[in-house]
Amino acid sequence: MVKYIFKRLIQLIPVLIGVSIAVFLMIYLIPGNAAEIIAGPTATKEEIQNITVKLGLDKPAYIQYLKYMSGVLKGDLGYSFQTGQAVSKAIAVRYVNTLSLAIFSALISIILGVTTGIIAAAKRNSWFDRLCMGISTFGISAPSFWIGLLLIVVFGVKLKLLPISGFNGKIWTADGFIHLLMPAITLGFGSSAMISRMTRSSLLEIIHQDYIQTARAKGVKEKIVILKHALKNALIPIITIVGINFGGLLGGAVVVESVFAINGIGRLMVQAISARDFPMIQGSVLMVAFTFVIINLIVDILYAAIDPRIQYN
Amino acid sequence: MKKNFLSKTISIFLVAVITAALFAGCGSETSKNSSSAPQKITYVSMTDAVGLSPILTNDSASSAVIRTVYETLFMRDPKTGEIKPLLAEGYENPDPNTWIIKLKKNIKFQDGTPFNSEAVKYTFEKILDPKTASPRASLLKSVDKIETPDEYTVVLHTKTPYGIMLTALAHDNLSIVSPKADKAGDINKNAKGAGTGPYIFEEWVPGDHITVVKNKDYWGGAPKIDSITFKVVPEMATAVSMVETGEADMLVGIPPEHLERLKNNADVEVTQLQGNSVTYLGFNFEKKPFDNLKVRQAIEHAINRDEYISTLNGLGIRSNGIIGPKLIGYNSEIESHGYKYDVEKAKALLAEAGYPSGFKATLTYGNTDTYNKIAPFIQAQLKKINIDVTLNPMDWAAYLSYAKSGKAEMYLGGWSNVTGDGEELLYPQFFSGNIGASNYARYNNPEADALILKTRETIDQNQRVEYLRQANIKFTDDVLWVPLYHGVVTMAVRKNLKGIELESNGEFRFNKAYKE
Amino acid sequence: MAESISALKNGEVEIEYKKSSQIKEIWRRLKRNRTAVVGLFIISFIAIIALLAPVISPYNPYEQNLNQRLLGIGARGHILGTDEYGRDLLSRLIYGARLSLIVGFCSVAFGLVFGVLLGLLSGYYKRLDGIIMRIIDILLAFPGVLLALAIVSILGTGIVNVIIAVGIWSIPTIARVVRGTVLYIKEMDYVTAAKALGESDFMILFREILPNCISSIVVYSTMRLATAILSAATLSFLGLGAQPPVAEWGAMASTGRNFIFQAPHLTLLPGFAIILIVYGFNSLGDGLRDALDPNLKNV
Repeated sequence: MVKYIFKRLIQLIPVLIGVSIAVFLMIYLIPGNAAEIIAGPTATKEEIQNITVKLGLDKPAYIQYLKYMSGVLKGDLGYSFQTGQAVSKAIAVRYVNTLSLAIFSALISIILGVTTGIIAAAKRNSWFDRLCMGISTFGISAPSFWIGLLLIVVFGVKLKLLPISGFNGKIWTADGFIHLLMPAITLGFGSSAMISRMTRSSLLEIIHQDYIQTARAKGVKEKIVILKHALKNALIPIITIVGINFGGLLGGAVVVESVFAINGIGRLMVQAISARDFPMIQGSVLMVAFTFVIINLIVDILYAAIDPRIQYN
Repeated sequence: MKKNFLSKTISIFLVAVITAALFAGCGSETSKNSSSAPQKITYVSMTDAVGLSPILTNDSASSAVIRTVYETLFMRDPKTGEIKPLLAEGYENPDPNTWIIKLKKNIKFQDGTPFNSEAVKYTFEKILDPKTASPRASLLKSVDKIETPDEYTVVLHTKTPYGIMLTALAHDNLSIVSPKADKAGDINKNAKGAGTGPYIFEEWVPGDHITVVKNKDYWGGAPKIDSITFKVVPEMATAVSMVETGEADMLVGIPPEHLERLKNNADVEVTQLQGNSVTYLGFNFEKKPFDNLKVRQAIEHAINRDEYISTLNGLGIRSNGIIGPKLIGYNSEIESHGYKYDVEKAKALLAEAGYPSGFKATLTYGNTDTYNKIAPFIQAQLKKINIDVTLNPMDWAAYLSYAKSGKAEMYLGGWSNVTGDGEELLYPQFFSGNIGASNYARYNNPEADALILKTRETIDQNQRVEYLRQANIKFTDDVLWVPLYHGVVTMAVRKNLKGIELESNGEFRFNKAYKE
Repeated sequence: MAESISALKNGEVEIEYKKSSQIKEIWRRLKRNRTAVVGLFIISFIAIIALLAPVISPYNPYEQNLNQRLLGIGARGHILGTDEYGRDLLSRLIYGARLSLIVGFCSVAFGLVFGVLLGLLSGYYKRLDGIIMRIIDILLAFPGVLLALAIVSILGTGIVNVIIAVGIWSIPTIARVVRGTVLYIKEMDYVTAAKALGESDFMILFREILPNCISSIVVYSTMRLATAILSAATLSFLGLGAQPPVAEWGAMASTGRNFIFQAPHLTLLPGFAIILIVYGFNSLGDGLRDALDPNLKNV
């Protein structure tokens, strides 16, 4: 297994290099540059020129890239063009926030999804089943900015139950927890719906299989039958969904981060690209890509841990 | 049996959520009610500051923070718009190229070092150094030499007369920084002790918030507010909701669609004030047929500006001139100029210009809410005179590049300025030397250049205002822009927060703020 | 989102190699599945509306009338009210059906062209597998939002570029689904037989393998349509979507959000329309999967 993990980590290197080249090409192709943004619309030619020289943007593109990458190899992600901050520091602050959001929403989606999925399966075709499936449909089908805004209007403004923004980066505190509740629900809604469906259909599929029927015939209580035997088999699809969504969350949480004013890595990336802040874009994209690959690895390891029939290859 | 299992799971979850919710409610309730608690303000802004050093920034989010920490030599009176001394005591002009500025005494920077002529010299020289790459270096471009004959006197020598010197010195980006703090570290990231202002920089979590705290030793008297948090909230609907619920105390620049809502909230006070910004439709004079005056006149005739302004809920004002009512250089006679809404006349002018059946054109703009809303309107209006407009929205950075390099045909833009001087509008936008930079119109007219330079270099203020008046008439008649509407600045504050006065440039000071 | 379900199941998909009466059998199974019928009904309904848009919409969706702006639901002459320019909301929703379907279908088609090709090649040729899968990995690891931002910044905003951006998002997952199926089919007897008979690779790929991937491609594409429409809405929120004044549901829901207090129907109605169409495609996809996958037909 150690060998397997090592091999996968080696594979990470070409992916990251590929991503960095893609980012670089992208920056090269996109019109506009950081100096023009910093100088603003009323700037004179001299002002723009001075800033261009200061940022090193007057040098040929490939030199900029090589210079940047040699820094990265030494562990230096460079400094933001716009604010002059160390990119690594800027990313660290946001990374914690986005990670908290991703973990919390994954937890919510698992708890909600598995519970409702189990109940819906146990009471197939009951009103509860229909309700769960109906809500989950809604969750999968609505744009997240839209759900987020509705939550803000209902729970924040009308009912004044939950705070609208202001996550402090500390999810383990009561304050942090409360502030992350709405964004995490918004984000977790879609995946909880999917998990709920997967749990339900996996359970239904399994319930009809022989060994469950046998277990039942032996007189084991139904609840335990479902939980012990069936749930274990439903775990794999659930892990897949959580894994995929979790990986997507890190890069795609920008909408929820904007709506709930969470200082996350998605927003950082979008801001950086609007500002043509090359080192910041590179740094944040590499970080997101890295996390994505690592999560995939973890998912694969979990598969094998849960189901011995799956082997590393 | 099954039912128990079911209901248990659900109820545990619900109880957890509700407890958590109530808990949060209590938390914020207590902090709101206790009057002896420190006075704190949360100000929400769409974007984060770029930096904390006046020398290295040029954006309104940074400026809002910079104004609390640093001060300028002169300031603009919020009511009259007149330029008054702030850190300066007064000035003299022995000749048009010499400015002798006397400084106030006994003022200290927050780091304890004295505010004196050396600090002024240091700040200005740093801005002028090309290596600093200050985005607002042009404010001091005509300054040749800076002398400090004594501790409280600064002499600025200019190459050519610089009529708007005082306006420039009132600009936030010419705030004076402490040489000691600036040399010791990067005040663009950590501005602790770097200014003379009423608040001291405390903390910046980039992308999230900036906090400043009361400067107890402020020379103008310590402020009553203990701390101000500038919180970044990128989504307007969220920001408005926060002011409504009291999560935030203050918001400026409210878009028309949210205004009514805030006005109807009994806990929120909304201020609306005529501003100095202008939103316009611009033309590229190097692209046919926009070099043709008749075509531009036809376009202005074809746009029903009053109709559009009526959709702004009072957040726009009709004025026919390019230099708006709140700017130095405005004169009400301009209202008899410009071209009224008249589709027939527009069609006739277009025919006279040689385009009886119209033409095709593109309209380029940055895809922000403001312009996204105007663009389809302009498109629909010009359709009436058979100008077939293709909309070309771009992200902001791409727009800057595109417009600067002269690729746009028609473009939408907005101009606003802290100092409120018409010259600051004319010089960047229409002076031929700025083609390839801020002169997106690529307007190149020697006669106009001469007039613009006069509005810049005349020291006698009355004479200068007269030149601005002339320029306004000339440029409005020539339709360099179609001024769509002149701005109204807005501010929403919670009713218990007092003493904040909005200025026509959309800025404000926290010096006298207090909470009831 | 939905792709994960089908991507997961597809390995288990049992493909019957019987061309005749296969379609009838699928249709029979589909008919029995109530959700699928509902999905099919919704999609047909929206498609009809889209086709008949010029006939049934009461107003020109682009005609502005600033005197009649922000009318509420049930207003005189405007059943669903008007938007911030006084345009009839019902007419815009009707025309929006067209655009949402166009964005959905075109972007998935775009993704299919490249995704299927990459998937076929990488599944069939072992030599190409490594490099193609690395490219797919890079595409997957590259944040989608950033990709869309880049495309729109380079090409400008507009429907076509939204289609390209969303289409590119679909490529890696489609390629993976197809690759998985190809790997499975490749080992089937009839492929080995075709090889033994000396058929060219090209023929084997497009005559023998591709037709047998169709069922998983159809199932996956249907679900991907739902994702594509949602992604387009997300792009609108980020200011990268359809350009005004185009009536597209995502763009309408997104610009309408500024009026959420003043005129909530401006964002609510397009939002419901999106939910409806996404639900339609998802249910149809679910139903198709069940119909095409005997393992799951009783669930």
